[in-house]
Amino acid sequence: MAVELYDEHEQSERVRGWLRENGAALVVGVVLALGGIFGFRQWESYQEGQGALASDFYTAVQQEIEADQLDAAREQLQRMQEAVGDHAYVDLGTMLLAGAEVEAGEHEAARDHYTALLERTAGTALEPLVRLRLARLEAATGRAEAGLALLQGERPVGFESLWLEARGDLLAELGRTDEALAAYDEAVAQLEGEGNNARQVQTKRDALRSAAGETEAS
Amino acid sequence: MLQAIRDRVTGVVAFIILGLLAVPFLFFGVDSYIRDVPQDVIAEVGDQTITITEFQTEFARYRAQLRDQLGENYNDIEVNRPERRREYLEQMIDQRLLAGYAQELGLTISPATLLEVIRGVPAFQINGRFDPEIYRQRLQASGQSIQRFEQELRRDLLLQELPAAVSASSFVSDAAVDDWLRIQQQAREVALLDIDSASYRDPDAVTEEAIATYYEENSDQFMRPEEIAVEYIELETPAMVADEELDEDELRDRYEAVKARFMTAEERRAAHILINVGDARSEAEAESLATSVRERLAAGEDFATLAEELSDDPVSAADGGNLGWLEPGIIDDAFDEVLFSMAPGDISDPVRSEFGWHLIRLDEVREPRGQTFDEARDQIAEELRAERAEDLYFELSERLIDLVYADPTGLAAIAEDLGLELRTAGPFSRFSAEGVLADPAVLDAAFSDLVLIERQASEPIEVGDNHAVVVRVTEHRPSTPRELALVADEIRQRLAGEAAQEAAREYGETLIERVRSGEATLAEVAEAESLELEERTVTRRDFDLGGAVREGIFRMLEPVDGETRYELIDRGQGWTLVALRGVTPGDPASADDAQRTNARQQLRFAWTGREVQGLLAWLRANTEIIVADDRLE
Repeated sequence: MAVELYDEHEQSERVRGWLRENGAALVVGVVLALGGIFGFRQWESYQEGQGALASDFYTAVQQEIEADQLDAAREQLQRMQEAVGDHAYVDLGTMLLAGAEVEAGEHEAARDHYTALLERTAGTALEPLVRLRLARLEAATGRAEAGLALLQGERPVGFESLWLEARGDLLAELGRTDEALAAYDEAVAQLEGEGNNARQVQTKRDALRSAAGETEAS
Repeated sequence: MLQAIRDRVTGVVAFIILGLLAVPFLFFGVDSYIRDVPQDVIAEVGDQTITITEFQTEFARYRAQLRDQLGENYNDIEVNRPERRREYLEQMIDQRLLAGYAQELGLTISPATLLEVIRGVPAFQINGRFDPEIYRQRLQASGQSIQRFEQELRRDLLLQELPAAVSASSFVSDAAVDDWLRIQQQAREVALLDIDSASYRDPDAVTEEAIATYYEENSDQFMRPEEIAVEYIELETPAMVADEELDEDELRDRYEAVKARFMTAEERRAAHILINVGDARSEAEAESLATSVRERLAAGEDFATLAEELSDDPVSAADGGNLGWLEPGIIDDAFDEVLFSMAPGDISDPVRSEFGWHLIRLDEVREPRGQTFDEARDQIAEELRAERAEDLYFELSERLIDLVYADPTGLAAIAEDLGLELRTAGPFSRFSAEGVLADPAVLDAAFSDLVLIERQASEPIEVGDNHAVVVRVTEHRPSTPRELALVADEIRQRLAGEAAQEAAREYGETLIERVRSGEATLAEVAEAESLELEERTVTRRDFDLGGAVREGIFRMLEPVDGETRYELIDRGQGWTLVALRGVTPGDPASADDAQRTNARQQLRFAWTGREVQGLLAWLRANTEIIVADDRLE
């Protein structure tokens, strides 16, 4: 609206004046913006590099475990952690190692790993897995009460039947047969339509009931 | 207004505004320059999308794979149904969920891992070793660029990264294996008595009233399927040309035209001496040299020696001039003309070919081999008929389609126009259709809304090679209840069976009561009742027992304090009386390594499968997923 009131000369004079006053700020702004863009991309590619590094360490952990070299696997995991700090591959590598430790009878080491993982994975999709596996470890090492405590509270979506089955195992171990049977029954109901999986839990449930003799639930 | 802004834009404000302007570039600008934002989206999975094109491309690829696997059993209509499309979309959503979560976690497939996987693919190896050249060639042959192949492979590997981690990190503790072995390898000591219900069966005792009640209460079980009567035209051109006279001359021409399929050419084994024309000697010099060689041969000099000495064809010269077996067309016409008119043992006069002057010696003749016209006639005739059928089909089916579209309300005129027979059939149901009408595609068409309800003729339906059917419904009988009189006997038998089973159960209970009360042992009862008593040990793998009895035995409560437990197990047409005397749990200590490994695998497989499913369900519940169902078409 006001533009057409100036002739060309006046226009350019005003622009120059404006630039004199604000040129520095403009340059700083542009530099910062560009810096931001390049910084962001730099950061992205740094992240990618970290990911690839972690991925290679993870593969190394995996290979050592497959070769039954748990000490070497622990060492690789340690080196990964030093190289990349916090990364999901550190968690996955720890899970891998803990599973191998359980099967090798190194229950204490596995328990420490799972306990650390519980905190690190809290709120993620991995947490239910960690919780479930720690509970199974507790069941296998005569610490059913501790295992049961891990499975208190709301069952995470998607893991309902596994939760119930693990609870059934723990309750059975504690001699709380009726509760165990109820948990198994609920698990079987959750597994409706999954032939083999349902049958497996059902078999466990029937074996428990059969061995327990007359109970309220029978 | 602009001026007002300009005036106020002083240093600090300019800085802030420019800074703010940079923000969208930071987070959106760069991104949207790098990646196309698709408009035609069929599903959104968190911040990822599945475009209609992606869905269609992948679904088409899936169908092609299925077609390859199933061959003739492949049914495209079935695979293409909306439910199946939806199912496939759900799978794609699962993949997006896994890919998205892997990305969120920062998982990547490093170049080293990718290289290792590629190196391990047998198709890219020679003698068990990866070969970069073969890798390039294979990809080129399949029309894929290396870059694209590696990108897709990387994506697939990334998808598997989480499920693989879930599976690899799982464990089955020794205690869990022991528990499972105790259950799986348990054995039970039992005595079994089979009670048959057949002797209790008395259909005459079933009252009419009971039958009527059953009929009323279960009327949906006694429906007659809907039926249709149809008129139809069958266009089957192979049958139409089957008796057609074939012209002998045409058959013979055809044989000559494709003779190479039936006959090998005549072959002649020959040797030659070649005299070149060119830089070294002129045409006349070459001809006179050839003539002089011919004279030396006539004078009895050895062909092979002269060939070695004089021939300008170094390969054959080294072998006494031998050319091996030749058929017409290999060397040149002038050469052939002489070679194929000589008699074995002859040596020719000089022959001029495009290569120079030859002296040819014919050594041996091999007659053409294969089928003569008479021997091949039947096959030729069959091929000719198939071709005629094809042509005729092409012509008639075009017209058939036009006529059906022009007037789909009746088939009589169409049949007459094409000189085909109008046939009728029915009434029949989906289950009682016969012949060409029982073809699933024909049935689907006949029972479709267009044909069944609107009474229009179907499109021509291909039911075989050059064989199509057009069908039109002339009468429709909807599904109706079968009258009581027709099903009374069926009901009577059913009720008699149920009553017999109940009577047999009561009998079984009395037997158990006699044993429990101490009146007699089970063996004595069996003997008194002339029943066979079987004492045995039962394991979970005793499949001879039948599922109901075997599983029933293992569901029975274990005996306490050595007291036998009794139960009747339903076998459908009778009962098995089980006396459970004792239970021996499986002994993990005595299980061998293979059994332990087996049990461990079984548990691990079941658990990890459910864990991966759980992970997906968790991601689904925690991700916003929007599906545009209407775009699934």
